[in-house]
Amino acid sequence: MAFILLSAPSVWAQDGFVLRGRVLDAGTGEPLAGASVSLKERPSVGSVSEPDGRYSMVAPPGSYTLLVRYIGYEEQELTLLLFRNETQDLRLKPVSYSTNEVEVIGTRLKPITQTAVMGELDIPMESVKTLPVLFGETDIMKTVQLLPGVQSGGEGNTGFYVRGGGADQNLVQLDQAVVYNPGHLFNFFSVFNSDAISNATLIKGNMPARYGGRLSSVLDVEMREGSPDSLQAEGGIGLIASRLSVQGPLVKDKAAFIFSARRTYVDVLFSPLLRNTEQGGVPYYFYDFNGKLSYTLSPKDRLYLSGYYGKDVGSLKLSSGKFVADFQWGNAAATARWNHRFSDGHQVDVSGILSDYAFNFDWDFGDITTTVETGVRDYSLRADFVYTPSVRHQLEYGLHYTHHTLRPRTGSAETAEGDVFSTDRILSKSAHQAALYLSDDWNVTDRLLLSLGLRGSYFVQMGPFTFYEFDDNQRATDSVVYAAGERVKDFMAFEPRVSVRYTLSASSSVKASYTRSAQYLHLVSNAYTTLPLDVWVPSSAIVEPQRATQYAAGYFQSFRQNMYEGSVELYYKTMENQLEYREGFVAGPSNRDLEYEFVQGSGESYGVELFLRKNYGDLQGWFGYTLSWTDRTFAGINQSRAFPARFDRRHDVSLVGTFKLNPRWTFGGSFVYGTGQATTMPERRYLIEGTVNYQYGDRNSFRMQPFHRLDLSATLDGKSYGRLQSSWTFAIYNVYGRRNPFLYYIDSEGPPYSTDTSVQAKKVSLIPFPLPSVTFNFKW
Amino acid sequence: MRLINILLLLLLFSLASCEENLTLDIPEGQEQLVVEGHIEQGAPPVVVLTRSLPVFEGFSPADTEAGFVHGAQVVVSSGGRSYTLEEIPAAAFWSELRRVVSEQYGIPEDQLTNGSGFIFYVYTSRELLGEVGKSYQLRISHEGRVLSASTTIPQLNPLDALFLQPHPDPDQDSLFTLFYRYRDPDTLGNSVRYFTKRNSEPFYPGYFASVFNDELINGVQALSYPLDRGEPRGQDPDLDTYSYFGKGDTVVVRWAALDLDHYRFWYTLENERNNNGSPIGSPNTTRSNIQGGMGVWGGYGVTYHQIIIE
Repeated sequence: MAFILLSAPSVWAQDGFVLRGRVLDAGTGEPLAGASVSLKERPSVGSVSEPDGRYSMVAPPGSYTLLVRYIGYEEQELTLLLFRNETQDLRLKPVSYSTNEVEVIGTRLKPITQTAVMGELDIPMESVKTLPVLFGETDIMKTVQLLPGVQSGGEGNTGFYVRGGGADQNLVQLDQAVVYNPGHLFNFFSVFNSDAISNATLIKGNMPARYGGRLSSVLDVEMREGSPDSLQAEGGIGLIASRLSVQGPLVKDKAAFIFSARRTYVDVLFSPLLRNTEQGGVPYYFYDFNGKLSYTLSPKDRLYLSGYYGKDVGSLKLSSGKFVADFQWGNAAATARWNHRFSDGHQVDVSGILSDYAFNFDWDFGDITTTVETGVRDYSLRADFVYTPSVRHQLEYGLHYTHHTLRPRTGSAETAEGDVFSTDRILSKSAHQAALYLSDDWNVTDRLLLSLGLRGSYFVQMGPFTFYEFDDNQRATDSVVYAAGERVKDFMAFEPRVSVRYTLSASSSVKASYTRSAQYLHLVSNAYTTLPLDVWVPSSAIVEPQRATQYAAGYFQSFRQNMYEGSVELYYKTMENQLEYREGFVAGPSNRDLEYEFVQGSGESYGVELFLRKNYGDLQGWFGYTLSWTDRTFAGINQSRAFPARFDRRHDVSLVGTFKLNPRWTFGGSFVYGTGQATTMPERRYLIEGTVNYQYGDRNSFRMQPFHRLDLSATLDGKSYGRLQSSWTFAIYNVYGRRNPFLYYIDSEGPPYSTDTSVQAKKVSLIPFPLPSVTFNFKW
Repeated sequence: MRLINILLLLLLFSLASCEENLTLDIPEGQEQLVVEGHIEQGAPPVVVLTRSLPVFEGFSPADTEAGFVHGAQVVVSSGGRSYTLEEIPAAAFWSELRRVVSEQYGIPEDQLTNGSGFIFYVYTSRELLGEVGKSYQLRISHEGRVLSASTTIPQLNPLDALFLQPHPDPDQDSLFTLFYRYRDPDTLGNSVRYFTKRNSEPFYPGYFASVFNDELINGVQALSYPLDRGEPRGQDPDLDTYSYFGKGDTVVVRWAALDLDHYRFWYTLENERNNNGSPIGSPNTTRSNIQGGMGVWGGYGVTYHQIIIE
C-alpha cells in the first residue's frame, strides 16, 4: 500500500496511462509497420505502429475498445481496462490470399496530420511494387522521385534532388549504413532490391536530430526481417533481371533470416542488338545480395545482423583489342545492431556499421596498363536511445562516431618496361566524425507538440596530408606537410532542429519547423547525373563544410478518417559553402587533389508543395505539385552572378494511381510533368583552326523542352496452388513515346575553313519510345 | 579520365537513345573579338583576328569575309621592342609566310595563293622572328576594345625517336600504329602539341587530343606511347583507319613545346569539342589566355621528326 501511495503522484500528475505494444503478423510474427491502433471511445487518441511494429498511446483511465486496422489483415477489436500502464501485443491475421479477398493494395502510412516531422513521407512498398517502371524493375528510388519537393535526376534515373539541394545532399541509409552510390548502371536502377526492403522513409529537410551529415534529405531504408515462423521463398523473373529471396526461422521463435539476391542479364539481352557494332555486345551486368539475421536474445534484447553487397561489372574491347578495359564498382554495407529495452519506456540501439564504396577501372592501351580507383570506407559506432519518461515527453539521444577513409580518384600506369607513373601527390584522406544529439517530442498540451532537437557535430581531417599552394601556372609553390595521425583541420557545428505541430482538429493540423544542418562529405558532379567515378571528398584544409538553414511551414488535413489526406508546405532554404567545379575545369588526369578545382558559393531555394493522397479503397494514389525556385552563386562562375541550379524546376507534377479492378487485376499508372531543365547553350560561334567553337550564354540560362511521361502497368494475380502464389506484371514505360530532352547541343559539320559548314541544334532523348516489359513474380 | 568518360558513355547510350534536329530560339549574345595568334622560332608572328557570329547565322563567303576584323592595331612586343603587325590577305602571302600559316593553321599551301578565292587575313610582321626562350606580349586595339595576352616560346623539347607497330589484326597488315619515345626534362610543366603530316597533306593536329603535359610523367627517362594520326576536324573520322598510318607513307611529326597557358587553351578546347553532345562534362570549358577577348596567343618551340613506313 505504501508503494502505491508513493508511486501514485507521479502517475496522477499525468493525464492518463500509457498503452503500448507491438503489432505483429499472427502468421509470421513479422512486425507490421503503419498499422492503425485506436480507441473506439476516444477517436482523437490513436497511434500508428513504427517500423518495428511498436505503438503507444496515452488515454485517461477507463474501459476501452481497442481497434486495430491494417490493410490486408483482418480488423481486430479488443476490450481492455486501462487503469495502469499496459503492454499489449496485437497479432493480426492476414486476409487469406487463397480466397482472393484482398480488397485493396495497402499502403502503410502514418496520417500526415499526426507526424511530428515536417516533410516526412513513408514510401508505401506496395505502391513501389505495383507502379510501372522501366524494364519492370520496381524501385523505391523511382517512387521517391514522384513525391512533391523531389526532383528526379532525369530520364530513367534514380538520382534525386530535394528542395534545391545537390545530389550529394541526400543521406541514403540502408539499415543505418550510408550508401554512397545508390545506383546501378548509371543510376538507371537503385541498389535497393524491393524484395529485401520492409520500408523506406523520406524526410525532406526537417531531419530529426538523430540524422546528420547531409543537408537536404534522409532516405532511410530498412531491410526486412525474416519470418520467424515458416520457411518462405519469393522472387521474380523480369526482362533484364531476376530476383530470389528466401526467409525463415533459424531457431524457432528466436532467430530468423532473410537472404535476397538479384542479377541482371543485360549482357545476354543486348548482345543480339549490338552484334554488328564494334563492341559486339554489352559485357556488363550487376548483381546484389541482401541478408539479415534477427535473433531474440532475451525478452529485452534483440540482435540484428544485416548486410548488403552489390557490384556493377563490365568490360570493353575497342579497336581490335588495341584497347581493353575492365571496370567494376559497388557498395558493401554491414550492420550489427543490438536492441535493448531497459524498461517499457526506455530502450537503446547499439550498432557497429561498415560502409564501403569502391570504383575501379583498368585498361591496357599502347603497352601501358592504367588503373583508376576511387572509393569511401566508413567504420561507425553508434548508440541511439529512446526514452519516454512521461506521457508528455519522448526523448531521443545518442552518440555517433565514424571513421572515414576517402580514396580520391587516383591513377597509376605501368609501361611494358616496368616504369610506373601515378598520381602520387593524391593520397587517401582520413577523418573522424562524431555527433551527439538530444531531442524531445514534447506534448505541451493535447494540441501542441513541440519537437526540440540539438545535434552537435564534430569533424576532423587527419594526416597524412600535404596542403599545396599553387602559382598562376598551377605549379606547387609551397606545401605544408602533416604526418599520419596529425590533426589537419577540424570543424564543429551546432545543428538545432525545432518543429511545432498544433492540432486544429482531429483531422487537421499546422506545423512549422526550423532546421540547421552541416555536411562534411561532398560529391561534386559536372555531369547530368552522378557517375560511378565521382569522388566523395571530406571537409578539409581546402574545403569548408556545407551548411544549410531551412524554414518550413505547412497545413495538413485528412478527410474521411484518413481515407484522403492533403498538405500544403512552404519552405525557404539557404545553403552555404556549396560546391561547383571552377569555370573551365576539365575532368582529366591530374596529380593534385580534386578539391583544388572546386569553388564554394551559396545557394537558395524556396517553394510550395501540394500533396493530396488517397490511402484506401480500390483506387489509391496521390497527386503532388511543386512550385519552386533554386539558384546558386559562386565567385568566378557566371561572372559571379546568381544562376539557376541545373535542377531548378519551376513546376513539377506527379500523378500516381493504382486501381484494383477485381481480385485478380490491379492497374497502376504514373504521370510526371516538369519544367524544362536549365542548361547552358552557345549563343555565338567562332573558328579556331577553321573549325567551329562556341561562345556560351549565361550559365543555365536556357530551358529545354518540358519533361512529361506516362507509364502504365497491369498486375495479374495468378491462381494459387497450395502455398504457391504468383503474379504477372505488364508495364509500358513512356506510353505515348514522348521524346523528352536528355540534353541539347549544337553540332557543326563540314571541312575546316569551308563555307559548307552546317550548324544544327540537336536534342538527345533516352528511351524515346514506349518500352514494354513483363515480370513474373512468385511467392511460396 | 576523359577516356573513361567516353567509354562509360558508350555503355550508357547502348541502352537506348535517339537524336533529332531541333529549332531553337537562342539569344544573339554579345559579339567578342577572337584572336588566333602564334609565334614560333625563326618565323614571324601571325595573328588572325575575327569576331564571333550568332550561332546559326552567316555561312556565306560574304559572312566569312565580314567575320575578319580589319584595320585593328596589333602590336607584339618583346624585350623592350614593339612591332606593329600589318594586315595581309592570303593572296599576298610570300612563300615563307605561306609555309608558316599552313603549318600553324592546317590550311593547304595551295589555298593560300592568289586566285584560290580563299578568304583569309593575317596580321604579321617582316621585322620580328620568334626566338626560343623569349616571351611575347600581344596588344590589340580596335574600335575601343583592347585585347592583350602574353606567351613564350619555350625551350625546344624534341622527342627521342619514332617507331612503328603493326595493326593488332594481322589481316590489316598495311596499317601501322606510330609510337614516339620521349624523355621529359626534369622541370614540371613541360607541354607539347603535336601535328602529323602524311605525304603531301598539311600538318594536322591530333584529332581528339593534340596536347600533352608532364604533370604525371615529369622527368620520365623513356616513355613510349602511341601517337594518333592528325586529321582535319569537322568531320567524323573513319574509325577503321583512325590513328593508323599506311604502308609507304612518309610521316613528319611537328612536335611543338608550349607554355602552360597555351597548353591549357588547347586542352580545354579539345575537351569541350570532344564532350559536345555528351551528358558527361559541362560545356563551356575553353580557357582563353586573351584578356578582353577570346582565342589564343601561343608560342611554339618546334622540332620536326620524320619516319618512312616501308
